[in-house]
Order: sequence, then structure tokens, then C-alpha cells
Amino acid sequence: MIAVWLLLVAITLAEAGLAWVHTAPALMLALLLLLSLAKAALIAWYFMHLKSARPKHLPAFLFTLFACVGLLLAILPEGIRAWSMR
Amino acid sequence: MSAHRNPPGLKTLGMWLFVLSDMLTFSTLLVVYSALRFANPAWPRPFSLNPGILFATIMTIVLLASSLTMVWAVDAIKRDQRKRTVQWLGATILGGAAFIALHLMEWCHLLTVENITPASNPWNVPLFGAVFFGVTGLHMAHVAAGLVYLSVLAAGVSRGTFCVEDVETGGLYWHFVDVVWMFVFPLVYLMAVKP
Repeated sequence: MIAVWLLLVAITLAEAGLAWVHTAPALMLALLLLLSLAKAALIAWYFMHLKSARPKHLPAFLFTLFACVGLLLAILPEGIRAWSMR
Repeated sequence: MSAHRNPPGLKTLGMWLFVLSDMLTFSTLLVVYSALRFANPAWPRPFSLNPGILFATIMTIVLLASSLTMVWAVDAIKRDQRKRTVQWLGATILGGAAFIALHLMEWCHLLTVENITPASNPWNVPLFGAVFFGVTGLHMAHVAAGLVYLSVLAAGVSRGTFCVEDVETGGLYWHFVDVVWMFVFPLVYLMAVKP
């Protein structure tokens, strides 16, 4: 578990390091989302013991994941479109 | 088994359902925050690298450390080491309390030095303060509720009234609070660094 925690801290430091480097907002958002998803997956898999979760719970996880990604796909492009119309 | 006792796994399933529903709440808030941020080119970027981002990074590591002590608390109760479990729960509570203290210090700095309030800010984009304090405030409320939850859990474990599944369920809640912050930190703080 210490190794997982050290990996989480390393990813956090890498994310903070991105703030020091002047990156384009869209690229930075994409990189940060990828790193954050990796951290969330590590916490869920190892700390929340998702790897040993019962298969019958899987539909609930999948539904929530679908809803979260659906929200992202439905709303975020609208914000980017509004920004590009200015 | 007596009729009123829950079957094994029911508390865990209940907590998972709560976590998943709360995840939808936070994902809605964070997605709307990101959409607003991209839709508004004049979106405020008030966080300096030092102390702003440095402070938020320390808060993140403190919260991650409290997740690790929570893992150790669950491991200890599985080995029936109740005293050790209470000690790790205490360490987790300390980590959570430190996170809240750091967060409140940051809020005080924003309110008094940077003049950013929930209704106004120097950039005349009031939505920023409303969404920033809304998202971080809701997360802080979850951490505060977690401290109460873990304190009750620690008291119950030391008295011998709570079992392995109770501590596991508390762990699920605490790790969920950690997962939410893993998205708040980059989307709210790192995407609003001073140019």
C-alpha cells in the first residue's frame, strides 16, 4: 500500500508541476483529467478494495460511470463552443 | 442470526450506493465549473504558485496520507487489533482535521487578502466565487462529516460494539472524500493558476 501511496503523491506532484510549465489550457485540462482518473482508479482499486468487490455490484458502478462520462460529454463541449463563438 | 440484524455485505452495498450517488452530485458540480471556466475567457486565475498551489498541493498530500492511515485501520480491525485500529482511526481524524485547518486558512487568505467572496471578486466574475466556495465548501462539509463519522467509529471500536464491516464502510466513505479532492485540486486550483 505504501507503493500505491507514493505513486499517488508522485502523480500529485506531477500535476502541480504542470502548473509551473505554461501549457495550453485545453492540453493542460486533458493531461490533468488523465492523471486524476489514474489517481481515482488507484484509490478505488487498492484503497476501496474494488478489485475484490462482488460482481453483482458492477451494474451500479457502470451506471454511475456512464452518467459521469455522459455529463462530461454533454456539458463540456457546450462551454468550449460558447468560448469559441466569442 | 436474529431477524433485525443486517446480512453481511448490506452495509457495504449501502455505502457504495451512497458514494455513487454523491459522486454524481460532485461530477455535476465539477463539470459545470469546467464548462463555465471554458465559456468565460475572463475567468479569474487567482492562484499564485507560492503560496496558492503549494498550499493546495500540501492539502492534497495530507488528505492522501489520511487515506493511507484509514487503509491501515481497516487492516488492523481485520486482524482484530482493536487498540491499533483506534490509533489509526485517530491518525486519520488528525489528517482530516489538518486538511480542514489548512483549507480554512486558504479561505481566509482569499476572503481578506485577495478580496474574493462568494458574491464578488476583483475580476467582476461573481460566478467564480459562487462556484469555487460552493464546490470546495461542499467537499469540506463532507470532510467534517467524515471526522464525526470516524470519531463515532473509533469510540464504537474501542467499546467493542463495531465490527470489521463497520470500519470498512467508514473507510469507503473516507476514500470517496479523497477521490473527490483528486478532481477538485486539478480542475479548480491548477486550472486557475495566475498566468
